[in-house]
Amino acid sequence: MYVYDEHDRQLIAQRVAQFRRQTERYLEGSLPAEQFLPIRLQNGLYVQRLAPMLRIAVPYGLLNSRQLRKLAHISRHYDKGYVHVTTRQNIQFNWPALEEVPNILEELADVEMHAVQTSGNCIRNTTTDHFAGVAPDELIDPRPYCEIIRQWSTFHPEYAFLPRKFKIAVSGSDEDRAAIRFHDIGLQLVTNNEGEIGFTVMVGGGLGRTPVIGKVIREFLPEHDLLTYLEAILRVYNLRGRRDNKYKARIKILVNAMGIEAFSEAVEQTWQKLQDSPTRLTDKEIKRTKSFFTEPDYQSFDDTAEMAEINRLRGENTAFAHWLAHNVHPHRMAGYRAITLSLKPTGVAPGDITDSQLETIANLADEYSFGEVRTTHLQNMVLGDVPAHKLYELWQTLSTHGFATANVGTLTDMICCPGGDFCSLANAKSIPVAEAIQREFDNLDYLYDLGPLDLNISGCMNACGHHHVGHIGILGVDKKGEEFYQIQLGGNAKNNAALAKVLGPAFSRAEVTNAVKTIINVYLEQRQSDESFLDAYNRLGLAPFKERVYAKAN
Amino acid sequence: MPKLIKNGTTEAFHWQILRDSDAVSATDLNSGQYLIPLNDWLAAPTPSRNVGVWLAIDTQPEELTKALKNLETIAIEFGSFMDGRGFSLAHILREDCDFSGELQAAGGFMQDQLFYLKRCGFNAFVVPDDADTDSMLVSLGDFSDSYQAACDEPRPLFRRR
Ligand code: SF4
Repeated sequence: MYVYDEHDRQLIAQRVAQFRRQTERYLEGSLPAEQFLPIRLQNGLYVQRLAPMLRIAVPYGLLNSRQLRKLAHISRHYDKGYVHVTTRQNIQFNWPALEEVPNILEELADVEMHAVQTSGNCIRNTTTDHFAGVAPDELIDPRPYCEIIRQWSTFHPEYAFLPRKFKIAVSGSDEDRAAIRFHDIGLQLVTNNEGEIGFTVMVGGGLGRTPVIGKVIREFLPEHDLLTYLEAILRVYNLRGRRDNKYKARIKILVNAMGIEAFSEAVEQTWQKLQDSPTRLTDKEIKRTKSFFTEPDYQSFDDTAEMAEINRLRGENTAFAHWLAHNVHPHRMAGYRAITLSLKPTGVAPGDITDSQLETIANLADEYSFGEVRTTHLQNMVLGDVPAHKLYELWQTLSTHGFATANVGTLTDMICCPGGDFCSLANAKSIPVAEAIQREFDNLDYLYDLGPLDLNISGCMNACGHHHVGHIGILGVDKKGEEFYQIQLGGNAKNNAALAKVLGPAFSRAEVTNAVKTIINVYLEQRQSDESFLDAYNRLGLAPFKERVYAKAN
Repeated sequence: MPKLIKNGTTEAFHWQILRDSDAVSATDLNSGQYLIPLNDWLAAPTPSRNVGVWLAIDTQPEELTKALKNLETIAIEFGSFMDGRGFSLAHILREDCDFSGELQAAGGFMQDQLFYLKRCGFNAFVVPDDADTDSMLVSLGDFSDSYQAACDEPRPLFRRR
């Protein structure tokens, strides 16, 4: 994990001091509210429906146990004792007092954390695969590159007032677990024929009102050119992106309007002037950054031997077997596994976690996983490096603390934005919908029979709940002041990226669960052998689902 | 009269901005200090202490040519502080056009952008008469170092670490 040196520490400390002065000027009336707005947003502070909300950056989803304990402390002392894991791997506090925010940021700086650029029209927190560094299908560890991007984008003077927010994601594995095709810039680490490292660069993807799949702008960008090329894309976007309509201001609209050829030509032209500038990455810097992401002190294990006892216990204990099958993931080191802690037990808002749970996870990380955890864009947490022979005792501990719900990758492991319970932009509540569906599908055997299923819920068009890329997506809409829900089918955030299609007219909250149930029934009746929901949908299309759902409703 | 923050101090802002060609032709440019549209200056690009170029925020980057390096003064006028195009325009003037004179930020930028403006190549800031310039000078120095290269420091931190 990256460790601050005196430069990083000084920069973050000066940011806290700057925001403290700004908050004081705002409170004494010398900084007008409309000027304070972009400032507070770029420090993570929203003013929400009920209270301010503070979004803390978790750079590419990595946290250590000290940081978790600090988050627990802050949520206890400045908030109501729980936090929320967002779909961008960040952490949100829901009820901090505005006057206290500089103090919170100062506490965070103690543990090398901040809230820099977690909102606003600037370059946001870079996200990546939550199995980075441990996934067996990984070609190159994306985390050092994420850190390089983090430093370059932090307080970038030229790109702090872009037409709109800007999100970058990096993937280093075969399977895309970071939804890179749905980011303003998606970076896929690759090697060329000479074995050199570089990126396939995608641009103009995104969700929101106008969902678009990113287009390839560079098949192979050598790693040394990463930052100069990002500069070039950003400069073209900053100068040419639309500023007259916030719904048309994202880079995806510019790329579509110019066409990918003209856009990439403009980028190339700009890049010509930048490519040999001092911003070009050096071997030394790449090496320095990589030195923070070296292997932890793995023991050398024989996988079969380590798993022997675990496999025996699997046979004896169905609940443990379920957990192994769903919440435990392969690891590139023999005798190790990555574990998802499900933050989706029924009855808890997806992604919510209490102060004492954070402390429990900190202890578990210290005991089982070299003191580190990861947040996921699916709103769970991951222990990345667990010795296989400890799986049973870990499972027992997780069970007592509510993290062992064996639903990872299933329908009840849904992505769900905070929605109308918290968010002032919402058209509808999303948390109660998630809960109603979780209650309906509480039979585990039935749930497992459905296979892998992504169900994503957003409370409005802004799509924080990624509804366009759910196999089943639910979107809160407003119909004459009443909350309604549109259902979409067939989205996919992975390699074969696809946008979901709208099923038909929206449903009232009371009807949503039944509609989902009907969709599932159609799947169960029509699936061929072990065809997944998504495969079945791709074969059948929307029609059979539509027919049944609306036949029943009428 | 507006003030100009420059070199860590404040002075009166004596320049007048002429935003269209009619105003330029109706004015005796020797009678004071004037900032004129780019095209008017390009029509007779003579170096002058008292004539500079005024750039609107929607100036297209292609319009910025090397000829501008002969100028002593350029002003970029911001509309809303949310419109960040001026940061890139300034960068292009400094890095691509080799402009080394006085680059003024004018119009609707805000105090808390001063540090970023300075990094992008602005070295003079037009502020209202009643501005709290002491507080602004503090904002200009919000940070003592930066990660990335910019006009004030051509080497990114990773080349200096
Ligand atoms: S999708 Fe809409 S309702 Fe949900 S968090 Fe985002 S802005 Fe708020």
